[in-house]
Amino acid sequence: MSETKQVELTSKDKVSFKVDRDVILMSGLVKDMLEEGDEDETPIIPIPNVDSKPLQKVIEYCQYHHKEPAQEIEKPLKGKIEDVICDWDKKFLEIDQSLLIELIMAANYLNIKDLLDLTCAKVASMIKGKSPEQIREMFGIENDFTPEEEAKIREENKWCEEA
Amino acid sequence: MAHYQPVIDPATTTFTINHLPPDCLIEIFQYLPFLPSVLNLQLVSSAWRNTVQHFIARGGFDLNLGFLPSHVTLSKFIMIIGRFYNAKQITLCNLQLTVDLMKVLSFTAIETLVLCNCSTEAAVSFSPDLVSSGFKQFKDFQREMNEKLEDSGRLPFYNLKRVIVIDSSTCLNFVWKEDFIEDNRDESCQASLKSFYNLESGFDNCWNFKSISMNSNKRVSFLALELYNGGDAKSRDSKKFVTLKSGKTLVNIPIQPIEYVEDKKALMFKYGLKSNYRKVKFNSKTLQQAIDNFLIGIYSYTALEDFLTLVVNSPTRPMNFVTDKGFYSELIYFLHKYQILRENSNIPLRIVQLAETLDYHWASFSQTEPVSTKTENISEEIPVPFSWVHLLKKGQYIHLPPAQPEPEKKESTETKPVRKSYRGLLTRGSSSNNQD
Repeated sequence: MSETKQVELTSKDKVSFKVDRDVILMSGLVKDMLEEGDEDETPIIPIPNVDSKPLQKVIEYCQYHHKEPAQEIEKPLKGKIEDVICDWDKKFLEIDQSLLIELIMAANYLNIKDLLDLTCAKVASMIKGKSPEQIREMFGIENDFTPEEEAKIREENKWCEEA
Repeated sequence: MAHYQPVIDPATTTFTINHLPPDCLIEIFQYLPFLPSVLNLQLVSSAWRNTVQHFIARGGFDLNLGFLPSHVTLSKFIMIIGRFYNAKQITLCNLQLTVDLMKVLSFTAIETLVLCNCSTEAAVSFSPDLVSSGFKQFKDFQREMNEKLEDSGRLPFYNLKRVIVIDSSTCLNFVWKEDFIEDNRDESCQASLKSFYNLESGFDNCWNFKSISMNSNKRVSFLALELYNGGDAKSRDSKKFVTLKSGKTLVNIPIQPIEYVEDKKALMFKYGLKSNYRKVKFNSKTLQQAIDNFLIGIYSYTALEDFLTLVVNSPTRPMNFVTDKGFYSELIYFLHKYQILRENSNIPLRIVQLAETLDYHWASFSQTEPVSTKTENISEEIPVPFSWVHLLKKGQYIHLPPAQPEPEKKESTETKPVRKSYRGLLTRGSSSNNQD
């Protein structure tokens, strides 16, 4: 029996992860790099934009969804995200906000569409139904509008108050 | 691209949403309903405002205008469409379409037009050059749009792929410029509809649509449906149709009765029906028609949650707005009246909690004697403030007694509401003076 080919990913903080090549091909970026590179036994691919913690989660995601393709998440979300994702994804998303944001950036950089969709939908479900003030509070965003600017935007959007 | 860069402090190890590039924020926005959620995100910060504006300019969103009044003014319609002409889909509900509204719509980039319970005042056209409008505001709009699109020679409805008519009766008359192609087996249209509804198979057997040529090299699918779930499709008026005219040719497209729609396929109607709740004419046949199809049952909890969330999140909105307009509470009242909701209905906890939060807020400014008010659609006097929980569970308005002056541990639910002051909320138009 032939051994599964592997790839070594090196994170920004210099931690290495060996992953099955088939698994990490879920990443468009890695796939492109492997197609361009030589047929090494275990090619080493630097991932300079992603720390080891989110990279480990990315690998965990790919290992699971390589075998169990992710369900498409409908846009826009009709209810809570928990109603439309599988139990494994629910558990996978039990992470703090900082890691969730890092995962979005990692999925975006590594071009893993399903993971990007899942994490973005998660943030959207956190935002859904909240007022701008609550969103600022939740994400620590500073309100940099003057009262006049804020009033102007409210006036612009007044027509859709009943939407 | 949006005009800002993510603010990143290299010293920090905690990542926040401020680190995300605009494209990722836009990905997030796509999971939210465009109106009002995405539009209101402009109020979060100037960076978010820029990103929302970039999102609008890029287009591809669904513009659900089901809440517009049936006789929307042309100037208001122009204002909305002029701003969101890049929408991929527009849904209109309970609207009387006029020649001018169609002319305005013709400038949009929509692929899908959903008309739910709409009518036409006379024949309206998908080829706006057939009828010229004398309105100056339309001419200004036309000039403005030609500048925006940098192409005055663009064909009307240049991206349109499908028109979906739901629960609209005989009062729809459309004029089409080109000849019809009545072949409902047209492969390109079939593929386009299948992809739109995300159906893998079975579409051609279930749904009868017409392919209509829009111009020499483009066809549009026209689908007219009426839902009879839970109702008697056999006793329907067999003369129901949508009229299409092209030159001297006149074609009556029969409205296809849908006797039973499986849950999965029922999602086909999500765009039209959900917004229909927002404008159900409670005292007319419309509600009964909506009730007749079981879909109102499917979406009623979603609609209720949306309504209640809106009220909970708008604490400074005068109470009279909530009560006089009726939208927010009448849906619950009528869902009970037509027995979609019953006393023993298993209402999801999150919806009950929203109602409890409202009661908690409203009790803080309640007084011993209620102020009575009336809405257009409910004959009885409504005591304000009323109990949302009671209304939700029993479908009756009862006065909400003032909160007892004992602030200690009233309840221990995980979503403990935050008490706010509502002094003065009973006065219409006083929102700007209210303090949270």
